[in-house]
Amino acid sequence: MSVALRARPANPRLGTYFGILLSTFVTLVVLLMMFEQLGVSTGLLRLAMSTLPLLLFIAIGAASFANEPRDYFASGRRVPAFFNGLVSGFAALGGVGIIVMSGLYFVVGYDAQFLLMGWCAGFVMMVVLIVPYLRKAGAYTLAGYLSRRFESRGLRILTAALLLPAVMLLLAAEMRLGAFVGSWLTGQSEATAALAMVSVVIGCVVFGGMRSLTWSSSAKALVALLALLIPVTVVALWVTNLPLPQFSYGPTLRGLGRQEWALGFPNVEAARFAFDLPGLGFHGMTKRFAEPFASVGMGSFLLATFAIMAGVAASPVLLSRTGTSPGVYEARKSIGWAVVMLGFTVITVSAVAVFFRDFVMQDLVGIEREKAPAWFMALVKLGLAQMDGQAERLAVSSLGFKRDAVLFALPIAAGMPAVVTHLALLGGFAACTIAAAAAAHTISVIVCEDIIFGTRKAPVTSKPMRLNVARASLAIAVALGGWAGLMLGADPLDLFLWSLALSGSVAFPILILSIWWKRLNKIGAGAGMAAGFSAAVLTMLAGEAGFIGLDSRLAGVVGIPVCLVTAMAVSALGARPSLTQLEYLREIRVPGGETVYDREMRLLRLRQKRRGAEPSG
Amino acid sequence: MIQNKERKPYWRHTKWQMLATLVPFLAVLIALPLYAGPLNSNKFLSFPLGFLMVGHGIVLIAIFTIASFVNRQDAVDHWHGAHEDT
Repeated sequence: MSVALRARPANPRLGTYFGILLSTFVTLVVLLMMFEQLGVSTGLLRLAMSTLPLLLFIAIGAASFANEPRDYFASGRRVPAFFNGLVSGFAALGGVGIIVMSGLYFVVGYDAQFLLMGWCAGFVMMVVLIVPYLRKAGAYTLAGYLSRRFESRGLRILTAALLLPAVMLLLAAEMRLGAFVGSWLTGQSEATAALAMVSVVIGCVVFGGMRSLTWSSSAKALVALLALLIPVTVVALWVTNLPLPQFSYGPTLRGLGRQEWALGFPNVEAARFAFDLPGLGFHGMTKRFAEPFASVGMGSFLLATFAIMAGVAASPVLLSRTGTSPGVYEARKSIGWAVVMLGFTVITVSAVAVFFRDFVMQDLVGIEREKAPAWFMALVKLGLAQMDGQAERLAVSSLGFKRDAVLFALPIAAGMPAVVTHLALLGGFAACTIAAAAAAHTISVIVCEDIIFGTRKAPVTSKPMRLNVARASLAIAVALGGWAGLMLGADPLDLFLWSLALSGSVAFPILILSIWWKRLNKIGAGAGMAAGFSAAVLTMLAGEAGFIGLDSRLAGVVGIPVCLVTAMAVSALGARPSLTQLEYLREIRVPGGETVYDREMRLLRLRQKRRGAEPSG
Repeated sequence: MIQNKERKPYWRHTKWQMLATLVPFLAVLIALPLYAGPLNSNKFLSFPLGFLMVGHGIVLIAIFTIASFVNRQDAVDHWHGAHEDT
């Protein structure tokens, strides 16, 4: 007889609610455009565009209040595959995948695609090798899963400690980027924008944890998608007569190729292990857009793809979402939706870069310095573009743009109303807050469940204490992330790639071995993670100091094999896993039946009820 | 609920399914960038083919890989009685 207990079904009106939300948002944008034409001040328009949607996101977060642990940590295990995939896709991308990626495409063209390949491959590895089994296990954190799998509370603390730096780096990257975009959107300083972002992230998550995160992030993802699509679709309609920028920019790209050839762009091939990505400064168009391996060598391209693949597949931020699906089948499906969302967004971003390159070629290259168009001078005034030299006519080599400004420069270059630029900025800011909120929630759950309560023999029985500790951890994590993002001053892309290198080096081989290799034991798992982390950190330090030829952002390619080999060698030399551990493994390998964590909590509640203690969640 | 005698065949089937999904995908993932340069001399919808395959192509291949994996693995689960109750 089956003992499977299905979660409550998903709300059938979700589509209606989000339809109403999108309609409200579109109405707001149209109204603001009308007000702009009526002469309302830009400051007021900025204020409306920045505060109203953000307050709406916070209201959604507050409306999703949760005081049950299963709701707070796993959104009640009833999030439909589409919404789960939507949030997972945007949490994987964050601001880096939209704002930085558009600048990367603009500067290095083809060579930026190692990120897209890594993301897609990471999700494929995740769905085949990890997600179904983690969903059946049902633990709220990776450390919780490994601790149960190997019956070791020490391993739980070790895993949590080794994964925290990776998630903190991701949070700092998104806070840094969010502060930059927020500052442009609101017209305030970066510190004020960072403070606003901290408030939004806390407001969107603190009330209901994963539940608030899921629904506020779904709203933000839809708004971000709309904000990305509107300007580029209008430009595509003007330039190609087709409102499908993702598939219609081919002729524009062909024209660009001809211009690049006519202007004598060099057709160079970088050294095999070169990894020359644009940083925070000004960058021009020095490479042919569609030609491969001009900035990133062929070897580095493949290594970076695999490092990102491993980092994404083992990301604690993304894997913590697997528990929110109603079942294993839906968890698998949600990853498919994540790739649809991610792929569609990145392809749209590539269209943004091509159209902006086209604007630069058509409007700027070869014209007299004094006749530079107003949109370019506006960007120069904002400190987001520059022209070098004193030559009478502008040349490609004399033009420079800030990498992270390209996405928002397109509506300015196209002469669209200011509201459309503010809309694009709002979308970028929303994307940053999705990833930042997901990272902050993951940190808070790791701190609460794995570090503070992880050493206890039995799960904590006081529900309010458990949730309040998680909420306090969240507030501290977000504040620290905001501070780190501002103070570090590092390139968000570097922070993002380091984060993926660390999560891949610590967790990727261990998660796969823990499911697919029975012989792995707790000493092997712990040794593998510690060795992978150490190897990755040493490679980063050596790469930054210039001691080795490998770029620090590719540290994962050293950390991952070190982790794998150490875990296998130590396990092979050590004791065999216990029968209880093998029984647990046998159970999580089969999708059918009740989620293991839920069943154990149910039995614990029954035991506590018999003793008269307060039931736990 | 899966029967005990079905557990080993189920896991063997699942392992083959995993290999059948990942090996072709990883082969494509490695091969596509290597041939992007030569492929660029051909055009499709005016896009250089190498650029198109690595950008749009990898997304479509990943979606197809996941969709076929989810359907086939679900069939494997049902065949061995390892599926979830609905």
